[in-house]
Amino acid sequence: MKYIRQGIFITLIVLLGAFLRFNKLDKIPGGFYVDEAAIGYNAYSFLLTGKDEYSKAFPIFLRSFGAFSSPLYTYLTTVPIAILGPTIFSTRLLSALCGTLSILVIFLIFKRINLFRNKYTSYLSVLLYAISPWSIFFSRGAYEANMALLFVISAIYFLLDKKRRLFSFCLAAIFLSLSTYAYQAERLIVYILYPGYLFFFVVERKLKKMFDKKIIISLFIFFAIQIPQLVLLQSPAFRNRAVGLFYGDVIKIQADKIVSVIPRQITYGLAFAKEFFSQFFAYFSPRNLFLDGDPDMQRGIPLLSVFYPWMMFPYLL
Amino acid sequence: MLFLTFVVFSSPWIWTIFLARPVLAVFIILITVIICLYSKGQITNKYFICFLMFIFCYFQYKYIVKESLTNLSNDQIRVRDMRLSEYPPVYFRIGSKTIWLPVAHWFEGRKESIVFSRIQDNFFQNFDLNHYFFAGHPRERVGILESEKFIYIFLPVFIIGLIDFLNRKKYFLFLLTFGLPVFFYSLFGHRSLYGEFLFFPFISILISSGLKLLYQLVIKLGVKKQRIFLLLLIIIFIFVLIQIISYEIY
Repeated sequence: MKYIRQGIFITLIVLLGAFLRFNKLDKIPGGFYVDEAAIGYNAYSFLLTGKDEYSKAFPIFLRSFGAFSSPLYTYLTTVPIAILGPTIFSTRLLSALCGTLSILVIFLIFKRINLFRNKYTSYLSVLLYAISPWSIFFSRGAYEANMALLFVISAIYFLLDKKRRLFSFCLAAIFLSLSTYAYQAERLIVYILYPGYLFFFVVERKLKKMFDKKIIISLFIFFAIQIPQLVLLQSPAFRNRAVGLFYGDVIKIQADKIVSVIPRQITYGLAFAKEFFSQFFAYFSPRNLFLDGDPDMQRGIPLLSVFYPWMMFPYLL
Repeated sequence: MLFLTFVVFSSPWIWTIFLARPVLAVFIILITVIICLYSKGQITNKYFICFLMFIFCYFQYKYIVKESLTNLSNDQIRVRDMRLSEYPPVYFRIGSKTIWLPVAHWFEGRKESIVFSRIQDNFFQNFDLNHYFFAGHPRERVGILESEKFIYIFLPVFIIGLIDFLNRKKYFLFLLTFGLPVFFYSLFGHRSLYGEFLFFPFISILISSGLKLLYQLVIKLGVKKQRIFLLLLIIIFIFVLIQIISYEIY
């Protein structure tokens, strides 16, 4: 009875999430943004010729007017385009699907970590995610970031396996490695998250089994999938999306403002510290989470942020 | 009190106010000290504290650029009209009669909704820690001269102090030093000549209590570790202070 009730609750939430993500997907948001069009066009091109718009066969990075974006979303979009034809709906379909699946994965994570004392809190949390304007917005456009997010949270789900089974390690490695092909930010995040997890795993076992079979096999799988990307590590295509990482020129400008009594290297460190912490805390600011949308008009809805303004009250409590 | 003195006089904010309005700066420091004494139980008269806070609010009211909650500038009217035109028509039919619902007007056109959105915007700005520790960076506010207020390395200490303060459940003090300013700025806006100084006592007292807690942890370490830790802290503090002053005078 308990499982039936649990199943009904989560099914209803996922259905609501799916409705909010799939309803009039080809019409809302209006128009077809250039990045979405590039994905759709390249996917159609792969389907017909096996080559992208620059006649490059199965590239690791899509050149796409100098963007050199991650290719996984485009490759997978060939499937809906093959079935439904080259339409706005088929280009956005995968993102909406990933957004809907992520509701389920987040619920599974909550169940696994057993975070909340009240059993209904996990349903409420998933419901809030399902109706979050941020999640809905990114699920309704062809955004690769949404797919990468699904892969990362899926990997987290498997990494949280209490029994630490081999297949959980392997699946986590696969998802994490694939996520780096889905969106450029994951190329950095995964290389912090995965070693971090393995480090704590080894520490937890008090270094008795440093070369654990599970770690070795999962690392092998992870790096095997990474080979195409690692081969291109030094290429301009790989580094293209890393421009601006660690704030680039901003740090130099800020460091130049500091009076010269402090050694140059330290001024860079101070400027970086201030920039990093200001960005870090700005993210958790209620103004950012509940009121101001993304300053980039392409990536947000005016006057709607990650959550609805009324959600601030439970957040502060 | 030693920690409070240190926090108050290391704040670029109080010096900025002092250079422009010395009397106001002295008054802010005085209020901060009295509230600190009240929090320690050395002053017990609630009415006296309330009276002082209301005088404090009067001072802030004097230096604030009052904003109407209902008036819209020409540009705001243009944006509002653009937004109103984007709403889909909402109607329902009863028999042959069509009843139109002016949803767009209800949400964005009515004076009540404009007042609500203004208050909401002002309200959310109060909670942005970046205004007090990073001069509003990275989301600087339009039409407000952002300035350095507290040194950003105090932010973790402030959070420690805040948690400790909330655990002590001093709700009256919390309402008076935080709730009242939040209410004030939500109604009157944030365009103050010298920043939202009603928050000064609250933030500086929490930083000083956080520093005190940190100090109590440090003295539990061995003498050698204690010295190394304090030396490191002093060096970092001096560097950051120079950085903040440099940014402020740049």
